[in-house]
Amino acid sequence: MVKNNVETTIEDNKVTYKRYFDVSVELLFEVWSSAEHLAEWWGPDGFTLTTKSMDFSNGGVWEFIMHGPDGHDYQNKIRFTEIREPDFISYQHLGHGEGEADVHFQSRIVFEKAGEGTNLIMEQIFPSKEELIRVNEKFGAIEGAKQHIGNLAKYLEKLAHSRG
Amino acid sequence: MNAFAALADDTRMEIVRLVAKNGELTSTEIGQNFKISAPAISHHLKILKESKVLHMKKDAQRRVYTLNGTRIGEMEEWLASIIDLWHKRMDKLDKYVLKIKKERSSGKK
Repeated sequence: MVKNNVETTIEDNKVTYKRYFDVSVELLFEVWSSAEHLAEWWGPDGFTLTTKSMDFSNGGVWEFIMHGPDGHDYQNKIRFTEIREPDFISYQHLGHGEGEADVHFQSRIVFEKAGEGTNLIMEQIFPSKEELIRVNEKFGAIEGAKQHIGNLAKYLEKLAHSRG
Repeated sequence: MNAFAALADDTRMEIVRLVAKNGELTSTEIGQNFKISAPAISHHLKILKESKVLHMKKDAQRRVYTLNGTRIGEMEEWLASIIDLWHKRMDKLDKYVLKIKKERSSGKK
């Protein structure tokens, strides 16, 4: 199996990642399920991670700080909206920042048995703020958020060509 | 409202498409493409201007709208940075789970 190979597709307001891991579904699920495990792989290189609180259950919250190599601290908050052991995790990323970088999005992760290993399929859905309020009120999948980021990119490409 | 939220609305997304396709359009020209009232169009344009998705320049009596390439570029960069972050994160995840797998299998005799 090819390593370092993530299939990534962008469609409307959704980014989908698919990658094969040469471990069992159970192990892949396990390393998402505790602060100790997450601290080992979640942060980008050079970052360390401190968990303030972690409740890995439906509706539970994981609050953590990422300490950047430049001395900056980044506050993060994730709410697990639905967990089905061992093959499904869905969460909302609730930023604390301001402005453009503080876009809330929903991730849905499926662990799918693939021979000896596992395919991890993750969908990131970028909702509008209005959608988010609705989702906060009611657990479950997001419907109808339309940002068409992919389409936007296509238009911009056309625009660039038309301007020569 | 941030740029992503501004574009989450179908009418506003359509306005941005029209402006992108034509290079520049006046508010009147934009309005001709929709069945909604002039005040409703104005409201959408105000949001697109405030979120810096569109530029507006006054030209005599006309308001001319163009795409703010910088802001669109920022949005695309932001999205690209999220994707890049996840690619790297999955590499780290891969290394980590393989390490655990190895440790556990060597522990089992």
